[in-house]
Amino acid sequence: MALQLITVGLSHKTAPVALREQLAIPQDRVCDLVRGLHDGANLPECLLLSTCNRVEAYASVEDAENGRDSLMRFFTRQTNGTDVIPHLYHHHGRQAVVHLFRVASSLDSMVVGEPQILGQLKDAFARARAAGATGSVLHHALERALSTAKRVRTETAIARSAVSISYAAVELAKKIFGSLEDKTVMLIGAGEMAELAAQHLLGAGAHKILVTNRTYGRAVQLAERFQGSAIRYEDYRDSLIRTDIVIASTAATDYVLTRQDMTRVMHDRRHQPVFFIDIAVPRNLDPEIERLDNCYLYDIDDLQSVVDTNKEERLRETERAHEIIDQEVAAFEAWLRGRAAAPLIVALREHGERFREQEVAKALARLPDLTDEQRQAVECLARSLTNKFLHEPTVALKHATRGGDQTAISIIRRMFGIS
Amino acid sequence: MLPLFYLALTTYFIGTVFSLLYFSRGGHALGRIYLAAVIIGFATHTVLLGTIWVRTGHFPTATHGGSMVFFSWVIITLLAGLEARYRLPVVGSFVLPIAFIPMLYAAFLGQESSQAPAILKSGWFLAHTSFAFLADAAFVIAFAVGWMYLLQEREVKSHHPGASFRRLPPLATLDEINFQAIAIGFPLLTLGILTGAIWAEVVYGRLPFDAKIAWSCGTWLIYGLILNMRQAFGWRGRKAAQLSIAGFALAMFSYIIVNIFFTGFHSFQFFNALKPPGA
Repeated sequence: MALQLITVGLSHKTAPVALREQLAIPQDRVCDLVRGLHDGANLPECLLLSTCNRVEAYASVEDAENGRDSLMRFFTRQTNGTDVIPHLYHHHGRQAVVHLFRVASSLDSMVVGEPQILGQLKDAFARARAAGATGSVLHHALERALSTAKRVRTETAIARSAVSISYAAVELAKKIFGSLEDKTVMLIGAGEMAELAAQHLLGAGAHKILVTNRTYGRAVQLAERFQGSAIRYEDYRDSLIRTDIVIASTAATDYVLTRQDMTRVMHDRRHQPVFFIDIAVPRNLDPEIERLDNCYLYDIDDLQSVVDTNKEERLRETERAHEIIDQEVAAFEAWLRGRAAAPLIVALREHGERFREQEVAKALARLPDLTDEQRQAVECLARSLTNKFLHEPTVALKHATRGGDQTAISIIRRMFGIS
Repeated sequence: MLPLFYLALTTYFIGTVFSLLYFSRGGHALGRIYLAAVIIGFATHTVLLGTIWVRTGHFPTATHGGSMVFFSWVIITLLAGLEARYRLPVVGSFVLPIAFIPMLYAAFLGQESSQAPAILKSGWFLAHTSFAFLADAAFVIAFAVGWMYLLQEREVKSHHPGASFRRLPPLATLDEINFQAIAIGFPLLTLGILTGAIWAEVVYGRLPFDAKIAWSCGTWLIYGLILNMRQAFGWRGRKAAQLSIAGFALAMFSYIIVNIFFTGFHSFQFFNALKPPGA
């Protein structure tokens, strides 16, 4: 029987966080558990992948059903009594390869396109190798998975667009300012989404955060958290001259900033660009501000529509990613089948060699008076006859195994009496 | 020289086509083909100019075709400098189609007599034309990034940024390159006009005046205005982009149209009609 890949596991798609927590394997225990699977469950090649969103076991086995049962028993043992079976998915053969490549390419991730999974997969493989549980199939599968992930990342735009409102804001800010390094952000009012946006802008390199709020104490509190400065609500307009990004989210029912206000500010700041993010409903910023040169204003609906477009594009890119995965899976499968052909070809050659040796020995026994030269000629004749005779069936066997043509394989087996 | 010229022309054509594909579709492979083609084209182009200079004994700008080949070379040299500093291959998608035009024009001009009048061997001529073409090339860059700025600004202001939003560089970067190009081009243009005046003074003992000189002074005023307005009133972004597009239109008018339709001191016919001194 030929080796094939199997996988059993659970992820954010099939199991609640409570169960994933229970099953998550601490990194320092991975090695021991892999060794246990390898020796205990008699799996020649296996690895364990454990992240916050998934716990999976991969193995290469000859008997998919047996292997699957061992892995499922392993998962059951890991929980303290919870029935884990309904949350487990399992794949074998081609489906298992597709699954591995999808996981590596971050198509199965909670945040599609996030790159951490690649590192986690590499670590998992390194630990399995340290436990002595890897072989050529798993090694080759992992290598292909990593190069598939690389292709998906460079050939599709899957990881390139922001799919949350605060990331969309950061992406826009970067396209307006280039670098955010010397940029000052002002929060007018506080709210969960405004804080998140500020957090992401800081993460993207923004220089300073100013916070203003009707309740000054709240502004001070927030400013402390971002290591920025609090500004009294009455005075915040004076600070606009040194503010590059404004995030407004007050409960005011009227515009807190109008076009007239900004015309003056823009003149004073010599028309350095300003990016306004209006998260408030009703809106805090006069939409007319957008008409000023070097002023860019996005309200919550604009940001949402950017996110929606990005999501649609990501979906389209996912299709392209699947094409890449299909190609890579086909290449891996061909390798696997080619690998399965090797013992058959060896058997075929041995079969021929055995006959050759027997027949040459017989012939030479009957011709004791041959000179060395003549003996060599006889041996040479036998060898080239065998080689020529076996050449075509060897090629046919290679083609048949690469293409998975079982009928041809069994015909060749029967014709040459190879078991 | 002809095989070199056609090799440069062909590789630039390939480079230009792939640079446009690179902008419209994205993708690393297209970008690599485009950059490789331009590198080969530029190397050939450089050898070609050297050959013209050595074989004919005068600076390439002494003939109409030669000056076109030189102009294109200067633009691509500046583009290469820009790429080395900013790593923004997409700028090439806008500059290369422009740099390709003078090369194509040179192909249509065909082979001219390589005999140029002796006064064009003057060092002043070399300085005058080099400065003028360098300035024009800097204005080509300012024009291209100004145009890119307007496209990107439209993307951002549309509130529905699309694919070109992602491929075009940030507004601030485009504005910065635009400013730098003009800040470099303007003094070069000034030097070009000055060296031209001195050269005329040396050769003729008087300052000539023709349509091209008038247009050049107009161009000089526009770019001077752009720089001043930025300094004095913070005219950046869209205003700077629009003005640099207008300035470029004027500069190109002065360069091409005047050369073709107006006669005067700057036409190649003028020099061709000149008898070598002492003949």
